Amino acid sequence: MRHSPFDHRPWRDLGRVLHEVLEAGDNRVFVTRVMAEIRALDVRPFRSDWLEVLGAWARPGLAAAAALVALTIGLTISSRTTVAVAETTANDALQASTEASVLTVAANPPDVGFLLAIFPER
Amino acid sequence: MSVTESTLAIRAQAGDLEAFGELVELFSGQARRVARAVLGDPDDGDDAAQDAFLSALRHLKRYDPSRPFGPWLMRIVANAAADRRRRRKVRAAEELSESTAGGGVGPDVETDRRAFLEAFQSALARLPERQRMAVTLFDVEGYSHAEIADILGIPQGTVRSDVFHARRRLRLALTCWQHHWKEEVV
Repeated sequence: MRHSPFDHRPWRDLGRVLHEVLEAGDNRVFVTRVMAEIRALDVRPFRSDWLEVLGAWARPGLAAAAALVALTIGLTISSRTTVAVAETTANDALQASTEASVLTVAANPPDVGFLLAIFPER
Repeated sequence: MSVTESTLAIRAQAGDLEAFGELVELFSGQARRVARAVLGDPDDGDDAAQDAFLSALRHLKRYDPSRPFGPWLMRIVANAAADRRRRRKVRAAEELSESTAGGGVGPDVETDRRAFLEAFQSALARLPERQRMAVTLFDVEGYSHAEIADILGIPQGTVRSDVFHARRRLRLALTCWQHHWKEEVV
């Protein structure tokens, strides 16, 4: 029976001729040659490339370093904020505020509503 | 998947060179044929197959023993052969005479099997590289479309198309051999 190129099963006759055309001779000689090359070059499956070893160490190392840096930055910011808040007095806050400086440098007298807003009733 | 190849691969992963030697023995024919299908030349094919086995041994720890060894190895073979072809700029198709496989010279009574095989080889060499690999892996080595897709890194539909076109082109190129080989391929 003729085989069609459309057939999605292996075409045995074609395969047989292809096999014959592509066959390259004595496999024993080839196997011996490959194994000799492997021994000469001392190729081993368990020997890792140095880049792979470095990469394997680098990934968790970098993650740990990043976590440490983040923790340090967080602690530093946290402690500075606490100190700054504790050392700030009401007077400092008033002097630092823009509104208060407006009172001392403005050419015209301040608006009453503005003053009431800055100094709320007690 | 063969239990033997899986067991051998596991032993080889543990550093057993003899086990790897048995794997080389099991797959050397296949690797050499596939490499030769890519490169055209048997010596180049053997060099590429050897490169592939060395590379496979170096990267054996990446092989998953629960999966078949053949497709994993064939992917390395296909890459090694393609790399070698690129490096050496081998263009087997250009080196071969157009008249050998074409319709110009027909077989006569003295034409023998050898002449047919030479014409066949020439027709094969003039196929695009991927089609050569696809038809070899499918019709010679018996891999499925899915496995070939995995080996060549292309969709299954493309594999089917490549196999179809390769078969059709081989058949067209060898029409002049129809009478002599009608029972065989054409």
